[in-house]
Amino acid sequence: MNALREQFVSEARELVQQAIDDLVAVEHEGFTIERIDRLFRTFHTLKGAAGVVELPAMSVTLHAAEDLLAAIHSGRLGITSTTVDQALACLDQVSQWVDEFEAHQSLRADAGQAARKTADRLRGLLPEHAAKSNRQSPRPVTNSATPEWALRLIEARRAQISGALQTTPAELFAVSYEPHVGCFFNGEDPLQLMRRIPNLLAFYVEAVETWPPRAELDPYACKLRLQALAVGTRAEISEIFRLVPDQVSIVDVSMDALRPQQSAPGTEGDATRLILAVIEEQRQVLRGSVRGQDFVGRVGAAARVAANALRSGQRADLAERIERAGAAAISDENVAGLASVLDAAVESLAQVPASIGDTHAGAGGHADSQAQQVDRTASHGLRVDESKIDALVNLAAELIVAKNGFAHLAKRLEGEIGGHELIRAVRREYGTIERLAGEMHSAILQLRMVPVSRVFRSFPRLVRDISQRLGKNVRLVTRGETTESDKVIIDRLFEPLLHLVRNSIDHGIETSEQRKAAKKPDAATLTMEASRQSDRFVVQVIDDGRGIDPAMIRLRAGERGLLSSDELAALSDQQVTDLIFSAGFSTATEVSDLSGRGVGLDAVKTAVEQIGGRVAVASRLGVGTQVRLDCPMNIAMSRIMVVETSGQVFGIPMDAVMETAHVPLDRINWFKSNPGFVLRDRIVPICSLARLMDLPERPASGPESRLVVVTEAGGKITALEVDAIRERLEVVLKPMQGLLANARGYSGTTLMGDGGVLLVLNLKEILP
Amino acid sequence: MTENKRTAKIRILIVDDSSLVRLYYRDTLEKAGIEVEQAINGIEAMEKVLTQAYDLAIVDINMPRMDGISFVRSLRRSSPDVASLPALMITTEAGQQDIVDARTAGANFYLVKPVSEAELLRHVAVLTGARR
Amino acid sequence: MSVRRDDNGTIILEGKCPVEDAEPLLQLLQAFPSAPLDWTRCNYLHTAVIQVVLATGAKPAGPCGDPWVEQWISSNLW
Repeated sequence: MNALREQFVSEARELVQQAIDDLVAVEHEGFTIERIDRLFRTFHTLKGAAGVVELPAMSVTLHAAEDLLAAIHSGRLGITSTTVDQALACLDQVSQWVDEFEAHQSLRADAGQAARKTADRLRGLLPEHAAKSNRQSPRPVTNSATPEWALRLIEARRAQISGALQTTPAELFAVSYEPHVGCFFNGEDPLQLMRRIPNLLAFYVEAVETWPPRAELDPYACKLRLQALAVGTRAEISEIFRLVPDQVSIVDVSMDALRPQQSAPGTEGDATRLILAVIEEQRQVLRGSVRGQDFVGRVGAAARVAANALRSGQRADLAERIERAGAAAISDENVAGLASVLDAAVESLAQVPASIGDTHAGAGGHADSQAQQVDRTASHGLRVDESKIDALVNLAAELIVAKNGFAHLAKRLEGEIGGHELIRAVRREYGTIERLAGEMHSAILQLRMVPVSRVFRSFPRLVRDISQRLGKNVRLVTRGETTESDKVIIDRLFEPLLHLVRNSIDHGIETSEQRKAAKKPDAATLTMEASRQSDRFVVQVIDDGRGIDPAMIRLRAGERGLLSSDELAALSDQQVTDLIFSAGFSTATEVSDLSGRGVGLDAVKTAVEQIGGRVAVASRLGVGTQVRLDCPMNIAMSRIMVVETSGQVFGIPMDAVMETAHVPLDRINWFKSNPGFVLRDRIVPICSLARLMDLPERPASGPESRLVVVTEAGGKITALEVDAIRERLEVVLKPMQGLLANARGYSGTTLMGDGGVLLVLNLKEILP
Repeated sequence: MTENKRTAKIRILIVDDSSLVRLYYRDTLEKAGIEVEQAINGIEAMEKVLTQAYDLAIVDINMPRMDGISFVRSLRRSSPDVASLPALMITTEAGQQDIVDARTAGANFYLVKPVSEAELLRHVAVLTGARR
Repeated sequence: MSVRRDDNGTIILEGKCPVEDAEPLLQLLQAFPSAPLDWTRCNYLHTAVIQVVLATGAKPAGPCGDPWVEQWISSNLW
């Protein structure tokens, strides 16, 4: 695939995501000119891009979507769930096509057909379509259909027809009758016809050409043009003029023509212009505002008017800023702050083009500048392929391993050569390389820091779909989208978060009736929040649903035999609630209705722990639930202790190791056939690592003692018996992959200095 | 600062010495669901604003006894909750200087007569922040 | 006669004024350019007659006796 196509694929994906976000926002938070404009531009850019890579099917679909958006922008069509659904469906199709294009560099043969179907569905929502199917005689919707003379007639007689404007008659016609010059000789009395028009609103008579001087007038040559505005049906009016159809023009007058003639194409443009004018005027008022008796009044009025103007234009956000600035200006007796807020508001409003017609011009060049805009907002800097960064990370990791190998080599040298000078030199160089490798590795890992918005951004759409399917009314709020963490961590959080969100909407959030009964707002709020807390990256999923009932969990856990009744009784409510994450618990499917949480939460816990994180849940019955995922900021280097048993090496994570010890045989006690020893007032069981790993046990390392590594995992302290303790390593753990991906007991692998693969143990999973 | 809640009716004070004009504005505004009160000159207008809260005053510039500009000046010097009443001035085509003077007095916006109903309603909507 | 000139020199349109009145009216208006025009006593005016009034720019005094003309055309005259 060439560079152009790659660029298209990545840009198209960004644009589609942007459009989805905006569509969902529009549906939830309402129509703003900004949003619709941005949507239009996004679709427009997508359409242009599709043209560049020659995907006509995509262009066709997107063109229909553009038309739909244009109708929404001009107010001819309102936003409903149906329009949003159709637009989202269009984007889904475009998404699929982009994937197809990426894989095969072209679309399937039936793409054209599918495109036409989608385009038809989209266009079917347009108002002209609805109108056409309802009426016999199509009524022109735009101004351009109303002829000049009718417009002039309306203007000239506006005062007279202003009363009629109030009632906005359903059928209004403009009639222009130019009788034949010799009609008098036919016994015709043209005005007679005009007299017959019922519900005449306005009448105008003019000469078809300049009157000659009196002396030259011909009294029997009819040189008049008779015009009228009337309410009625076309049938009625045509009937009157049935004998002179060639001399008469009868025109439907649209409501648009009756509005005061302004130069703007659409009323939305008008409104914005007026709002801008009002705000600019307040700016002028402020310029003349100096301290004095009228200061409070002037400034107060100016702020009030500006805020009102913005509210009328649905910019309550700007209005509030102005109100605050106004209050400050009055108390500080200084208008500078208010003035700059007004300036900012003007800028913000003025960025919106008054007419959507502007954006149609120059699709090519325009699309470029829009694409650049997308680029700039997406990443502040270079666009770099993610696979390139992954490659760099791998290289850095291998460098670390090689560096370790260097240490290994140095040791061998010491043993075999023993030349101290040389060894010292080697150690020095090794020290330098170790430092550099470490720094480079950190720097490269930094490249992999990505904002969590990468994962959050799919959720508005997902929440919308899931809640629609489940019949719940849910509002998603996201916070902390810019918080960063390692790409691997963030990518791996997607599935657990999806699980949590699904569970929350399915089981945690009540139906509308239940919420009403509980006096909760009709729309439930689901919050996804990311934050950085010291060196941890924390994501929380919070809902205001029914919460978790510890009593119910106790009941179920008891019934399922997960814990004995004694054990259950000993647990606090919080500990009971934590049970929802345990494996045995979530296999009980009926529990979902009672506990408010359902299947799959143990999967969430596992996934999070695999990336080095922890889960915690807090809940209040009737109020809501909060799940907290506490993860590391980056995939750090792990410090490993290498141990040997039965001729095989294994790695033990250093943060699980408390100490190592040679335990004399006489200090080993036997408790129910399990060996253990006393370590500082505590009984520590001894486990043979060889036995745990199903390896043949060798006789004890020494006649007098056993070598143990005292570890702490999952709250339990265990002494692992090993044959030997080898070096300590700092490694980048590669997660278990391929066939071993689900093998329990390992937290990852790493390459050793001598090229061997080291399996690093996950003690929680190994120890009994 | 007195503020009517958006759900409550908008209250407007019309200040104009012509009964015909007052009638015309009142008809237009009342049809749009707006509460209207009238004053025939600046003095009456001052009396009214001191006793009641309004969302907007529509003020003719030319009036006997106390013209529109003097009224606005007076208004802006009153107590804070009254002084910030938005003022829309109705001026004549030839009144460029009028606009300058009115702005100096602290008025907020201008319309040139004759004012069409649509124009009036549009401006009222924007100046009072009503949803259209 | 539906169109005539009275003793004061006023041109009077009276009763029903058919198409034939157009020419005499024009002739009178040509002959006496400053004569006042009174159409208060007519009750119907043919288009041709109205055309003469419009074309000559004559300004009738008083409302037109033809109610339709008064409602819809009188305003056109100035």
